[in-house]
Amino acid sequence: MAKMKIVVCVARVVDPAQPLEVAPRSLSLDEENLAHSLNAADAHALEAALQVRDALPDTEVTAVSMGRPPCEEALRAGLAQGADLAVRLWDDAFEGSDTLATARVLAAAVRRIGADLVLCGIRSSDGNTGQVGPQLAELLDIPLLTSVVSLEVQEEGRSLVAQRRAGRGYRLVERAPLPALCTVETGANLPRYPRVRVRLRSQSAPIEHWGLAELGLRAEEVGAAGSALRVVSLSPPPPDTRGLTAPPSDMPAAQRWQMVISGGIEQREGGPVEGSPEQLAERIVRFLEERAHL
Amino acid sequence: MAEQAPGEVWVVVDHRAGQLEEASLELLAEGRALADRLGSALAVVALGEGLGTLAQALGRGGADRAYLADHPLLGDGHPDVCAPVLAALIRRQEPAVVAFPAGRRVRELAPRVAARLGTGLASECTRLDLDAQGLLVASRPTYSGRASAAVLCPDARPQIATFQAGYGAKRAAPPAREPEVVPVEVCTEGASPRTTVERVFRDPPPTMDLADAEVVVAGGRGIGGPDGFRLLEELAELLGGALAASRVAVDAGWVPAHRQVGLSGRTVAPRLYIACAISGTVHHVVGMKESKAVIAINTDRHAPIFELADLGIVGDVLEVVPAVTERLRRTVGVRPSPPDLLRALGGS
Repeated sequence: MAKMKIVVCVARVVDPAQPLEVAPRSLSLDEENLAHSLNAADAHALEAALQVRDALPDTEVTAVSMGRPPCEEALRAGLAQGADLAVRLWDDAFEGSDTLATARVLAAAVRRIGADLVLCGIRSSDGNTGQVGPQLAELLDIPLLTSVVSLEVQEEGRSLVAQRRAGRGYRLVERAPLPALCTVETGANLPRYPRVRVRLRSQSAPIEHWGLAELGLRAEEVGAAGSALRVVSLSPPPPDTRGLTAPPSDMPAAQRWQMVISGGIEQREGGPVEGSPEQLAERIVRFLEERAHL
Repeated sequence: MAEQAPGEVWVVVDHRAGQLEEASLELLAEGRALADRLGSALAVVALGEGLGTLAQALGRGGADRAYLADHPLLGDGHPDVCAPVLAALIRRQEPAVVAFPAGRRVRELAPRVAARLGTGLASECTRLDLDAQGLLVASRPTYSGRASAAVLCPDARPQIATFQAGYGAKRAAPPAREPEVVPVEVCTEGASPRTTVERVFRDPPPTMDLADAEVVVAGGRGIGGPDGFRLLEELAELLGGALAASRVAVDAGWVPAHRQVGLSGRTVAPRLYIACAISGTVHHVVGMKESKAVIAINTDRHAPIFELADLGIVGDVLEVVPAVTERLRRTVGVRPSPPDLLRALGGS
């Protein structure tokens, strides 16, 4: 079996844990003053790739990321976790890319690497679109499996069997021929903890850099020029108009605050019903029927 | 198409058993408002197999036109087939706006259609508006819901958006009208599923992932022990749901810790949450208050859980739950076959 090549697309995102101050009708957030981290779902995608490498040792895992030099933080986090190679994709022409333009850049990188399997996190915690993975698969014209929680390469690298979340507690076991692309769910696995030696090495490991020329792209198909979508304004999220219940004083302050922000507890209608167990059971079954739970 | 007429507003609907899904009707009402302001027509677009049964339901959406792509290959809604069919239809008809109700399958389908057409997509929108030039202004949550971005698609067409259920302006349903039905010729060349489902399964209640369970049956102190939880498990099994517990029940060792819902456990938002012998302290409630519907069963009629219950039952769980299970055993029929299941899951 020839060497298996896996590309994992990773992103450096605004850390989702910090509070954000968004002025009404602002144009963008001054992201550089905020804390950043490797996108959570991407760490799970990388772990899924490393598990394939554990099973098939002749596998090379490459982390790619599109961004200015600071995004090397995400790539180094990927190297520390265990990726073999890292490539940063940037050219000033990439500035202002929407999801489709980003997918074009990533597609060019995947083609250049010649990947058998492409893994993406299911969505980024800052853009939240979840679009780059599916659009990348479409541009590469390869099979797509979304919401993957675990995967296995079979038939000597010719196909892939993945377990996917299908909603309502269901799981699908689905097969696709390789090359293919999977988007991996947050929480799908337990990303391995970096080993000290690998982590130290990752800090000084070389990171390749590919621009327009290396990727064979034209400036007009990427960046703002190649993007259909424009963000015209950024606002605080719409207020939650539901009624507030006072949070109890024994709750930690942070959680009390969070409860207030999230809109508190919604009061629902209808007083409690009394009766014999049979009558009550009857009432519950009727409720289940009315609300189409059966 | 006439030169001057503004392009149509399309809503690509989810349907099941000859009925439009609630979220699709909500989006059709949004689409009607957009079309009226633009002075254009609203069209409902449905893909599937045997759409004849849908004809009656279509009128409810208030659309002027209905594009029906009816083909056996579209039956299970595989995006490998739907994306090229939909993209071809959009190329032919050149609508101005294409809106989808956000959902699991649309999260896959819409980006692929947008990529095929080289146009923009605003996903999971909470508001669809028009600017002075009649461009779609789509507002969508970003930074994990900590900000809302307004996006425009100035040049490329169509403007595509997916819309989250429940965010529609609470307007009256548009008057029903008889839409002009336009059958769509489906060209399936190059459109065949590239992935195959080998198995569909659902974990049993005690191990089912709480994150995507549609029904959660949870027990608290009043369950009294592991035996009581077995009764809840039976009910959860019949409803296709997951088993959960409050902290008290976990601390007592009746159920494992990964089943805990609440402040120090998991946060869930199922379609139905059945709180059994849970008093409803705020520490538990913060973990389940986003549930779409709540049934509470408790012996104490003053238990705070009743305040947020859609159905409050004053009674002993150990008597009521077996009675419910007994009834469900009689009424719940055979389980759906995997193909039916796939079709059903496609809509969610």
